[in-house]
Amino acid sequence: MSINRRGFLKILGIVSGSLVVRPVESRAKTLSPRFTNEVAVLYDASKCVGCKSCQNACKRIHDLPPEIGPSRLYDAPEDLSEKTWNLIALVKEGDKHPFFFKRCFHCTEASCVNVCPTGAAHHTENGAVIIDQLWCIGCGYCAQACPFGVPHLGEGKDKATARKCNLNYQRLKKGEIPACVENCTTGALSFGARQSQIAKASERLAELKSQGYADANIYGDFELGGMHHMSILLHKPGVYKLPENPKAATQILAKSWLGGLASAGVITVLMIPFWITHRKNKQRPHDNGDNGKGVDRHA
Amino acid sequence: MHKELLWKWQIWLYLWAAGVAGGGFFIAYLINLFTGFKEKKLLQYATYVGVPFGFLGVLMLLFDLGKIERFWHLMVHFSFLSPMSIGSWILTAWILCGLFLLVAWRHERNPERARSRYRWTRLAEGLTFSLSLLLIAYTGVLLNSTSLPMWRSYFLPALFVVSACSTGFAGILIILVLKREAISHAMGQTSVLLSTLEAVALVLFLINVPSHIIIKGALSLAFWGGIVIFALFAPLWLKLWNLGQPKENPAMLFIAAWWILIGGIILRAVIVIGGQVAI
Repeated sequence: MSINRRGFLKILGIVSGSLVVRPVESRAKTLSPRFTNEVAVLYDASKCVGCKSCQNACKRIHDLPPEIGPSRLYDAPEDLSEKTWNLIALVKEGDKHPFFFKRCFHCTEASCVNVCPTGAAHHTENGAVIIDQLWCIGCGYCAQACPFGVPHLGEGKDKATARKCNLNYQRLKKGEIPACVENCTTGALSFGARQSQIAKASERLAELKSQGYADANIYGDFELGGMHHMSILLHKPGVYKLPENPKAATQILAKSWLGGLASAGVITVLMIPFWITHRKNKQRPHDNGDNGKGVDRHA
Repeated sequence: MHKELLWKWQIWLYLWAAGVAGGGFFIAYLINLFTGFKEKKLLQYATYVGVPFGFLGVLMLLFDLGKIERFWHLMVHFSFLSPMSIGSWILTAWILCGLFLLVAWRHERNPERARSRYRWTRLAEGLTFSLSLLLIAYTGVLLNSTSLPMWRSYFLPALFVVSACSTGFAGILIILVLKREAISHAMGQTSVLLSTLEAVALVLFLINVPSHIIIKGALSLAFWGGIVIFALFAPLWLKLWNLGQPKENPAMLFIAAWWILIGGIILRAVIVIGGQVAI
């Protein structure tokens, strides 16, 4: 059986064409232009009473099963998981015990989006980071890359896709607000255009400072290019186990490649003397009686 | 944050297999560059070893994903920022080039066909060399681009590159011994150089990351026994002893090469597990 070059290229063209065209068409429906309508959720830790209404609303709207935490309570899972996309945590740090609303920060410089090999993790037009469940291959790279450990994969033989908060993207498209915000009982959560949310956060921060909360700060107004879930914190980020200056996983990408390639360069340079000597010895006429067979001690 | 091991044995084997495939070809091509392509057989042996290892890498990726039908999603999207995306393309291209070379070299034995295909073969060899370089660098970059502190060291890509070259060259040495072919002094020197550089890169990596779990913790036995003694110093001692002998001892090189090859898996296992556990 033989095949000429033209025939081979023809088959290659048909096969690769059929593979590429179909997915691009279907993906086009899920990908949107970036941030044409930027929004943000603002969490005010000073108003949160830890009622978990947001948490329950999220479970209900996404049909997520309950999880039993170490406290044996159905509504108190210990951390975020593939079944728990947001969480009210009681942080314990020294004499401070504030509540904190944990979930995806929907970063602009989102590590999960950057490292995702299939483009399943992507931004929507309003800045939310969502994971397209049809395109996720369950590689877990987003979970390893996220500085906050937000995305989670399921367990079992058939690995689940990566799951996390999607900012109720489907509700946003219908003009509704996220279920967690809608169900917040104290007004700790609010939703709106990102610019107005930043202004609102700044006003509230000034209020808190005047009330004596010297460490109060806004987390997410500029971290990682700006987040779409911002928080007004009463204490420094470290108290809430948040990195003070989070870095995108891919920030060191260029240096990382350079490190690898440079070490290959070092190997190359250090090998040269051995093989130049070897070449010279080979060119020098000699007869060691070996005739190129067996051991070649001096070559 | 990461309580369970997300990346398990499939990923250690994947990183190892990709390293062996790329590292062997990279070193073999360099040797040919330095010798005016007088060691073509090394290039061929590197490809004989590399192609199956490349396929092993793909197989491990498929195992890791769990669902084979998901794999093609990698092949219809390309992202410069995603090392996994870049790596999948590099590995695929490397395997295709390797397969092409295996076929092309067979045809080169036929003098009538050889002349017309010669240029394409040289081009493919050069391309495979470039892909090998990217492939061995990529395995470290993949772990580097995460948020796990142990994996964020710039010395990790360096360590993986050196280890890939060392294990890849060990694969070539095994074939040379099995085929009872001559092993030159320069090959012995190259092997010693790679093991020494691997030891240096490992030390630089460990002193720059939170490595307590590897040196003193749960992984210390695998580290000291499996990597330091079994994969680094024992083979290095054997090779140095061998270099000092008036006659090359293929059996010693054979044993040392196997230790290095297996040690490559232990190295990747320790780093992949250690990075996920040490938060």
